[in-house]
Amino acid sequence: MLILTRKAGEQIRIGEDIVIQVLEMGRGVVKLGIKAPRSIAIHREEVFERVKEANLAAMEDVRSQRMDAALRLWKERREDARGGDETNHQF
Amino acid sequence: MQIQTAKFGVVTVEEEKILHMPYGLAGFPGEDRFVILDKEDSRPFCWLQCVDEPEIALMLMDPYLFKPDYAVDVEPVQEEMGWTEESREDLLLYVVVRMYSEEAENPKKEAALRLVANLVSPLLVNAKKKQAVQVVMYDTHYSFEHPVV
Repeated sequence: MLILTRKAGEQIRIGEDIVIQVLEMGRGVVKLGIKAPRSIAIHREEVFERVKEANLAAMEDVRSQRMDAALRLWKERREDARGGDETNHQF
Repeated sequence: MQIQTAKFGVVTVEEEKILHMPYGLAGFPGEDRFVILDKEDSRPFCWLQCVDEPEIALMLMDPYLFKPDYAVDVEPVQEEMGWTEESREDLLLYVVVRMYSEEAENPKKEAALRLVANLVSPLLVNAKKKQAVQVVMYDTHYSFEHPVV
């Protein structure tokens, strides 16, 4: 791993088109600004890892679980709720 | 066109239904072509099926069916994706659903099936542009395993 020391306001360039700037340093926290092309996804590592794990686990469920069990669970719940659901895509 | 799937065998999908995921899908590097398989007899569930890798399929559903007040800030995503001329009604929102049996505390008891949805990283689909993206929410109170039932 390359290790660099930077002061607040200073930058790091990675390749042609990625620039990382140290904006602020606080108590145990550093604020970074990142400029990168649109095609590069930028995530906080720990959150990205969790999303990845969740996706992989979901794939494993599709592989190993039977669909009709999910449908049965859903229908049981709907019968209990007696039609209290609505379908819409309003955010 | 025909695509191979592990779950449903060979399925025929219209070419224009294929969604491009420019940022890919976390956990499946290199895959960017997906299609939503929506079969009438399995609703409310549908699948996000990878076009080029039969084994990759995730179960999806409409989150508003079980979480009517679910709120996703889509504006920054629209900006990022260049979907600025689309209205919110043009975008579809899905969440990834998991179903698994919970290990029973008492070995004599039958393991209970759990149906949960990932509300932290929903899938946002732009059918007009034939694109999709998995949104990642930070600092959210939503859960990766929100109960569906």
